[in-house]
Amino acid sequence: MSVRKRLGSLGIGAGIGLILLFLYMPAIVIGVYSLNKGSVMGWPPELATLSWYSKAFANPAMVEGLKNSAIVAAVSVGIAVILGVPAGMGVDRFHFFGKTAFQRLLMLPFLMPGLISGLTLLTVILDFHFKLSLMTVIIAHATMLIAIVVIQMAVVLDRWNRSLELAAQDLGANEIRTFFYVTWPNIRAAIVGASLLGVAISLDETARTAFVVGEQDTLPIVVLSSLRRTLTPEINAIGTVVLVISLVGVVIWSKFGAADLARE
Amino acid sequence: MTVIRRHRWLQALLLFGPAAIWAAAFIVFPMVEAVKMSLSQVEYYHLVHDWTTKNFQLFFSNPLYTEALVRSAVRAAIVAALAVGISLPLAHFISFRVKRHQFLWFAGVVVALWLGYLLRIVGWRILLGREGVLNGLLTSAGILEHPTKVLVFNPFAVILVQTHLAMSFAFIPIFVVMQRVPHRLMQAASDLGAPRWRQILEVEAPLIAPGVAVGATFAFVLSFGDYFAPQLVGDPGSIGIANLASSQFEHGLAWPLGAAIGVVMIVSIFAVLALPGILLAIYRRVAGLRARRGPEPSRVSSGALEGVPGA
Repeated sequence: MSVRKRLGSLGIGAGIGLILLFLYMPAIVIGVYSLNKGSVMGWPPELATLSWYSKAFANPAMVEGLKNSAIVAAVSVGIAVILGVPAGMGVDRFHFFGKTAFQRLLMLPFLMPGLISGLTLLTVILDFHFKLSLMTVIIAHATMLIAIVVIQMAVVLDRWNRSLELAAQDLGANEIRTFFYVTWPNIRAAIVGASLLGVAISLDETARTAFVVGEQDTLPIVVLSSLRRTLTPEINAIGTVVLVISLVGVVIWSKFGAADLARE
Repeated sequence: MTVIRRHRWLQALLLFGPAAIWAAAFIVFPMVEAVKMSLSQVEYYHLVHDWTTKNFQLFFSNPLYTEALVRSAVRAAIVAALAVGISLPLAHFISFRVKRHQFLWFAGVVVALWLGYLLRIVGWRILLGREGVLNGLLTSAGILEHPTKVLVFNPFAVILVQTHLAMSFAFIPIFVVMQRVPHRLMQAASDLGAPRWRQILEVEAPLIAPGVAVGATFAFVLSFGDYFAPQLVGDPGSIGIANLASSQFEHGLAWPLGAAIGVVMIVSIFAVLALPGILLAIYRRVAGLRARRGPEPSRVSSGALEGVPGA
C-alpha cells in the first residue's frame, strides 16, 4: 500500500471516528454523570456513587411519571395493534379507489412534527371543553403508533405467500381456524416487533404529549419541567434506566422483526 | 358469517372501519378544527367562531412572527444539510468500506441515537454548559483561563443539538438506499476506468438520491417543528415558529393565534414534503436528457455487466 493511500484511509478513519464520537457524546455524558458524586456536572467527573439512582427512584414525581408513562405506553400500543393489524391486513388484501390516500392519511401523524399533532388535537379538546387527562395523552400516542403497526404488517404480509391461506381453506378450515392456525403464526413476530418499537417511542414522546397532558405527567414531561429549572443528575440516572429498558426492547425486536426485515 | 363471506366490501369495511373511524376522529377532524379555530377569536373568555382572518393578518403583519418563520426555515435547511452531510460519509463507509459485521456497525449508530429526545438535549447541555465538560477540558488544558458561557444558549448550540436529533431520521433512509447500491456496478465503473469520484458521482449518487431526499425532508421537518432545543439550549434570539405556536397555548387565551401559526406551519411542511418529488422529477429529466445526449449511452453500464462472468 502506498503512503498516500495509507494516509488517505487514516484520514477516513479519523473522520468516521469523529462522527461516531459526535453521535455517542450525549449518551456517554448521561451515563457517566449518572454516577457522578456531586450535583455539579463539571470536569473531571467523580465516579463514586449510585446515589442518584436511589434518589431518582425515591422522587415521587419521577416514580409517578414512570408509572403514567407505562400506562400510556401499554394502552396506546394496545389500541394501535387492535386498529392497525386489521387495517394492515386490509391494505394487503384489498385494492380500492383512495387506498393510497388512506395509507398516507394514517402516516400523517408520523410525517408531521409532534407539535402539529398535539396542537390540532388540543384545539378539539379546547373547543369541546374536554378534560385533559392520561386519556388524551393515550389518544395522541395511539394515533401516531397506528402508522408503525400498519407499515410493519404491510411489509410482513407483502412477503408472505397468500396461497397458504387458500390451501387451509381448501382443506376445509373456516376463516377463524385459518386465521389462528395459518395467518396468526406468521404475523405474530411482526406484531411483537411493532409493539416493542411502539413502547420505546411512546416512552420518549414529548412534543405532542406536552400539549395534551393533564395533571398526571408522563416521565418526559416530569423531566421537561425539571429541566426548565435546573439540571439534576437524577435525570441522568432515570434516563439511563429508560435507555436500557428500551434498548432491551429493541434487541428483542431485532430478534423478531428485524430478522424478517433483513431477509427482504 | 355467511353474510360477511358473501360480500367483499363488508370484509373490507370490517378491516378498515375501526382505523378509518379513528383516523377521521383524531387526524382529519383535529386538522379541520385547527383551521376553524384559526379563523375564530376570543371574546370575553369565550371562543367565537366568526370566520375572521384577523389572526393571519396579525401573523403576517408582525415581523416578530414572520422573522421567526424565516429563522426556523433557514435553521431547518442548515440542520438538514448538516445531518445529510454527516450521514452520507458514515453510510458510505459502512456500506462500502466495512467488510464484516456491517449490521453491527449499523446497530452501533442506531444505539447512539436511541437515547431519549430530551436526554440528548440534557447531554449536550452538560457538555456545553458553563460548569460543563468542554469548559472543564479547555480550562484544564490551559486553552481557556476561565470557563466561558458562550458555548451554550446560542443559535449554534440549537443547530448542533437539532443536527444530533435529526441524525436518526437522516441516517436510516440514506443507509437503506445505500445498501441497495449493487457493489458490482461500482466495480464495473472502476473496471471501465472511472476514477473514484466519478464512480460516486455518476453511479452511486443517482441511485441514492431518493433516500437522500427523504432523509433531508425528515431532518428539515424535525428541526422546523422542534420547540425544545431553542427553549433549552438557545437564547431569546433563537426562538422559532414552533415556540411561538406552543407558547400561545401556554399562557392566556391566544388559542386562535396559536392555531393560525399551526396552520401556517402545516402549509409550509406540506410544501416541503412535496419538494423532493418535484426535485427528483426535474433531476430525472435533466439526467435523462444528459445521458441521451452524452457520448456514452446510459445502457453501457448494464451492457458491460452482461459480459462479466458471475455478474
